[in-house]
Amino acid sequence: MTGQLPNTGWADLQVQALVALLDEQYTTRVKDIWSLLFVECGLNAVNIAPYPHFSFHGAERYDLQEMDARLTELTRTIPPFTIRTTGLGMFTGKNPVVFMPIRLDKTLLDIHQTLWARTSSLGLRLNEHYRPGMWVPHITLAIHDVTPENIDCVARKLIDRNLTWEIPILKVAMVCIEDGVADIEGVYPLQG
Amino acid sequence: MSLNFSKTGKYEHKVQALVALLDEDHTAKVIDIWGILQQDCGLNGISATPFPHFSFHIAESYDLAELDIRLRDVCAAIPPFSVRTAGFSIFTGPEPTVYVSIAPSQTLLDVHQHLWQQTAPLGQQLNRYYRPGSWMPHITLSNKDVTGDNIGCVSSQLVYHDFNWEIPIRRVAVIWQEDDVADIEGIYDLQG
Repeated sequence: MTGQLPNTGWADLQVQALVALLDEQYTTRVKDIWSLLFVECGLNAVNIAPYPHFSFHGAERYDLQEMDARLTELTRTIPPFTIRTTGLGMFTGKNPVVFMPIRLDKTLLDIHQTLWARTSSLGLRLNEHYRPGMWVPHITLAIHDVTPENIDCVARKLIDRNLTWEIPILKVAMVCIEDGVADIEGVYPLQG
Repeated sequence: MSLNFSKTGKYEHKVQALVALLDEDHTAKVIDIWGILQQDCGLNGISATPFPHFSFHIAESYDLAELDIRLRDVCAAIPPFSVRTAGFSIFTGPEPTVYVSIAPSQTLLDVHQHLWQQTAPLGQQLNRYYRPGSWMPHITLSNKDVTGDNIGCVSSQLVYHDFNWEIPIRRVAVIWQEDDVADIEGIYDLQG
């Protein structure tokens, strides 16, 4: 399963991430919002990683072989869990990101802490925003092509929506983006 | 300290809350943003609660005398701490609220859990969204008068704003609002 980045300006992006995949129902619901934002507001760069997800941590690259071994072992002890989204969020600044915030409760904090402690050391040039204490778990709705010209369209289209969702998380995955092409390297069902 | 509400900030029901007050620097930053949203987007509902803060829990009323005694005791044992913010968010739906997102750390969740256990039983008609496991800590920027017509203005105004704040929290307070008046009932320094 691969995804091609639609905007050639980001075609040299190299990033890998440990993520939680959403279940089928909420994968469809997030994709519906991506489609809405594309049709109504012209946003489509989110499709660089066309798998609705939230990230536990990201890096320029990982030791994928060792990561596979550790995740195979770790996910045997982590049970499936549920997350709750709370609306619409925006990381502000030069490269704004539109997302659905995820409520950070004790269960999610503990899982993130465990995954960070056991697997983040396998990454090179880790993204510091995913470190425990700084992590803001989120499901990305728009990235790379959000501007002051289209942000009001995004907000207006989503303001009335019920974005308080309870999403079952049954599997984590390694996602790799290389030269603008995204691929799922491995999927690990939670079996604890 | 007793402050008058704006006319648009009138509440039908009285409400009381246990909150964390921000330091002087971030109090000024939040008040500046309230000013921008009022001047540029016509929003002034937030002036109903004119103390920049985030709430630990909210109720229709508390046993204020007993709450005062317990907070003196509890706050003597809690050390000052910092919270980190990341972007702004919107509780979407029929009554949208725009707020600064707080990244909940283990420390913050522990403080909230402790305050909840020690003081929430003194509240009548507690707001269930502030219960541990449901709590989404946030600093409100605008509520009551956010609509589909002005949310575009709000988003455009805030999208380039820097919300990567680290806020020292040194005081909690009990605040209340009733009809056209808001007041701070008591302030408690964190002295642990």
